Amino acid sequence: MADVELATAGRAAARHGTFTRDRLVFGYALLAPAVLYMCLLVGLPFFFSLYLSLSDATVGSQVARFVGLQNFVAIFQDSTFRLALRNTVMFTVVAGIFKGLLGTLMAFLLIQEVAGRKFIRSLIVLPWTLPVAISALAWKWMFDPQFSAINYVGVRLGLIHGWPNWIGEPSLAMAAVIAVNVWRGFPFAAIVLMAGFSAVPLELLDAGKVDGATFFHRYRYIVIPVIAPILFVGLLFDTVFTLSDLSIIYLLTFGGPMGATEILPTRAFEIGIQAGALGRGAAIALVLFPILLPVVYFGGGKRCERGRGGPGAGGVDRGGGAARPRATPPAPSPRLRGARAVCPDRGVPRVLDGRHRVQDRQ
Amino acid sequence: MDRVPRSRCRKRLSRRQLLTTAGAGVAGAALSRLAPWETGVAPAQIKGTTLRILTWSHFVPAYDTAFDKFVAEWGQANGVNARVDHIPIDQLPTRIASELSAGAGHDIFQMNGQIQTTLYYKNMVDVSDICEKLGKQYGGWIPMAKNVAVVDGGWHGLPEFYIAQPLLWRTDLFGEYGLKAPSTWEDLRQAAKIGKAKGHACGMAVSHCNDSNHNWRAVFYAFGVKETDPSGKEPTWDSKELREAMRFSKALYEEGMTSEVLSWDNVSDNRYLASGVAVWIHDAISAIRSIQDSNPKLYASVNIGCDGLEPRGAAGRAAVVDPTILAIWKFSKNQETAKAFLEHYGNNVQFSLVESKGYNLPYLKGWYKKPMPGVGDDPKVAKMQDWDKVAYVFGSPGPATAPAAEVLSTFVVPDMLTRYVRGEDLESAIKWGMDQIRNIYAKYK
Repeated sequence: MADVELATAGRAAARHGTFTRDRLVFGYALLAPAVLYMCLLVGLPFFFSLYLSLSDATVGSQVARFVGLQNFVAIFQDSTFRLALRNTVMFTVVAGIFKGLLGTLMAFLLIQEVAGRKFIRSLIVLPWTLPVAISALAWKWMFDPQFSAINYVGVRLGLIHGWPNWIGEPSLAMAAVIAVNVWRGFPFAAIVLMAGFSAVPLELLDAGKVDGATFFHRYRYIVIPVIAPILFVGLLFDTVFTLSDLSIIYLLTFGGPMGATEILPTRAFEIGIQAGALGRGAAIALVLFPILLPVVYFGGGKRCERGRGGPGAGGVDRGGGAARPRATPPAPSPRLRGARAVCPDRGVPRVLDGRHRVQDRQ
Repeated sequence: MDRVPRSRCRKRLSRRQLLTTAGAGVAGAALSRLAPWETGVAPAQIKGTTLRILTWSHFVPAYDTAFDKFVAEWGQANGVNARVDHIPIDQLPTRIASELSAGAGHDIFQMNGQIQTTLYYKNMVDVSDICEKLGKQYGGWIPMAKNVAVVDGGWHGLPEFYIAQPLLWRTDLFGEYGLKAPSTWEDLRQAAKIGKAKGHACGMAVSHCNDSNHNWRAVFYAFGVKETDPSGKEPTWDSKELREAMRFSKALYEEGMTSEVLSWDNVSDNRYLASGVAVWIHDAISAIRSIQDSNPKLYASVNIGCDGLEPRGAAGRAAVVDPTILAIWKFSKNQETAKAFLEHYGNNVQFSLVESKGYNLPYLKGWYKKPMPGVGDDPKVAKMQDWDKVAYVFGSPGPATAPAAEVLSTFVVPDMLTRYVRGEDLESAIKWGMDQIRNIYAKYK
């Protein structure tokens, strides 16, 4: 009897082993195209640019000499590069804040039940879907020092005094390029946030309301914790898009006036491609990498990992339907005890439990 | 054995025979000009090959059509499948770089404005034989031609044409202000001062655009500024002439321009002239071509140049032009075809002058014989027939080297001037500019 049991258990184990191996092979086969794509189109160019940044390569020379960190030392000695670095940080942070604020506002407006909601939504995302060359050209006309439509309307409405030169004054030029970037980018933020909002269970919000939580309390203590993983991914995407946004500045100001709108991508383009100094251009382009890498790895990786089990990240059902709870549940406000009581057995708000399905209220 | 009569061995030519023989010789010599190698008809080995040319989208759109036709006709006559691709001027450096990296692309490519022969010459076919032949045939090249095409003693591209950016001034406004025709930069400053007070400021871009690079260099050169030593290796910007030129430029900006020039691009001055506001601008003649039909009255009131040349400064007159060259990639499999086409173009420069309506100006001295085709027959642009006497290219008096091109493409000169006109101290603005220039040149040593 014992032998029979052993034999059966052995066969089962063997079957299980084969099944696991098959699943593994199948899994890796599914992953392979994406990995190959990443290696060929992201990995290779990245390592090639790393190689270029350590060489004196120029566009006309097939043979490059290894120069160590000479390019990096040289670019940090260049005042225009330092200005470009500062501008890049400013451009990214300020544009990011405005896109976040406007995106949130827009997302709230877009989830409201109003007539013609779909039409309004498609209008809102228009700036994001338009080719950048067309929108930049339109903005260039609006900022034109002689024929500026913004000035024309603003002066007549009494909102603008004088005739500001939007892309000719250093401070205004930076504001202008940020404005265009925000105009183009905030629909993306709105879409991301709308997706997040749809994942927030109504009963949690209702419980908050019953407990007397204000709009801002509900937003801070219920909505943000639930959509945090989505927010982070959206923020990461937006930061990368903004940091590498060459087109708007290239088309509007070309880095001027006096380098006031020069950012790292435009500087890298000018030096690496226009002037042909590939090595130095690559060094400029790679400067942000060591800064961004830990942010993406520790911040993005952990956040996404945490969010994987929760409905905020799309409500992925992991096998038996019991998703892993958040490692660190958000501390509930004293005013939200009722909300916490919705799922008292787990000690965490029910919204963060994978078993609770996402309710699409769209 | 029959002997040949003595009289037949020493046959004497009659007068008639002499004239006939001489006539045949002259006719033969004349006809030889129509031989394939003289008319640009290529030898048989290029038949059946292909030729792809990369060039810009010309600011005179009709020229693109004419050039495509010119290439197609040559291709048809020689059994070559020839095609031209036009791209915006700003995209040329990027495309050239990517074609070299890929080792594939067009056979002939154009460098326009930003000449980088010194960077690419090892990958460009030596066309010295063609250039030297053309030079002999058409009275030699103007000095600037060598600055854009010759590296290490060899011609690595065919100087195609250059674009002048002359002074375009309003005769009606000058008359209204009681001013005589301008001759110097100082005259223009006075006119701009009066004009600005009456709502007719002048305009030259002080910004990140090509016009700004070339126009302010024209002022600086006229005040005696030299970018480099004759070898092109040592920058020589830092001088008392530069300080003098900067002071003049700031005065010109403050007295005669509005701050909108700080945000101008390459077409802003065209629009400014077309708006009827400008008392004068300094730009390519496309600015007046664009108003020729739309505003004939304004067109009639605009005059070109000073005394048939550029305005005079403390050291003389200078026009800093936008040069173009045509070059052949070494990786091209159709090098012979490409060389045959370059020779054909070099022998037919009149086509370029006529079809561009005087926008393209030649590098070969022979084409400056008055009246120049396409230029001399138009009274307005006929004043540019002596432009070869004042034409310079960036980097002068040295060649247009890679560091000189980088100084150009990173807009160091417009930025240095912007700093000064916006209130920065003269020495501080110059120090910033010289630091930038020194860093750039140091990189290429």
